[in-house]
Amino acid sequence: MLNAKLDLMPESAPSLRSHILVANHEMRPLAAGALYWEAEDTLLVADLHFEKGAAFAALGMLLPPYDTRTTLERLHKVISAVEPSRIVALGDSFHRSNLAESLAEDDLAMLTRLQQGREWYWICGNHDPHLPACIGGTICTTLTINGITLRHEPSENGSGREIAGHLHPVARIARRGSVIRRRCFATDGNRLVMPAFGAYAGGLNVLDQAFGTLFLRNRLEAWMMGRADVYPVLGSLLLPD
Amino acid sequence: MTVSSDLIYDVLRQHEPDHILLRAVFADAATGLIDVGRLNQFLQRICGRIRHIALSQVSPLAVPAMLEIGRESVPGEASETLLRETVEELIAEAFSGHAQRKA
Repeated sequence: MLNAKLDLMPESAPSLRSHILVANHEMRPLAAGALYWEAEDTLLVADLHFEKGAAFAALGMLLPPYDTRTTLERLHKVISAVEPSRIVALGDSFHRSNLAESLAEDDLAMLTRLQQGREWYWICGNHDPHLPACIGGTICTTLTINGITLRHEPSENGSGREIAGHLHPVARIARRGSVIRRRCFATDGNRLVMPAFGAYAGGLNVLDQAFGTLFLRNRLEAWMMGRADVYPVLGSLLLPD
Repeated sequence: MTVSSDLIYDVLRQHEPDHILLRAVFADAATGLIDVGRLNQFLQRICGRIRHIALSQVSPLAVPAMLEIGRESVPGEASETLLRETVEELIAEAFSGHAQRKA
């Protein structure tokens, strides 16, 4: 706790901001798991994992086949809330590339409606490296907006200044004898890793080895998703699983 | 890769609330923490013969019930409150730390 006090400067204390600073750009985290970059009127989502239920079904594990529809409905809600002129999906939008072609008619229609009147970018992920044209939008591997690179997998090298997905960060804290574990936006002010937006997407503790040295440990913040709000939590309060 | 049962429950409840798995879950819960069937019969028996009196002190017959309060936890809004508290504590620390440095 002493460390937390020494590291904390009120001007930069996460609790006094409702926006996450990524390389000095202000981003507004939304409780649904999307990030709104107001200055660029751009909404970012990651790891939608459409058709994950269908992929599991093909392997014999029968999950309720409504995850795509649920994710689309959540996407619709968050898009309606901010009405961005640009949307970027940061990879693993489809659980398998080929499943994009077998989307249910209604789901594809809903997706097409969401894309109307705005720019839509699909960044390829490890699950969906090759996306078909039928899903509309622009397909790319990375996208750089105003000096910030948007990509699927966070890069270990380089100066950071990126927003990525792939790792499905989750934060765990203890308070008053209770443990709270939530999806979160993980950042150190330079690099940000998005929570997974998909209905069936699992989560990985932000202190896990998989996150390696992505974040400066004494600057790590986990913005934890509540029901309607996003709560900034200092790295020093986080617990492993 | 594992999928959390919470996720499946939420999605299923939204799209197929009458699914047999959900009906089984509700039937199970109805006899788990509290026997809803017996409670229903009891309430029907005493219907129309209930006298509500606000006591100023705990009555001897109420002591066992009072001791049970808090024994069973039901997840609800508590997590949101705890998260908000964590942030508010941070704000308080930030200001007290800042004040100390200025002094």
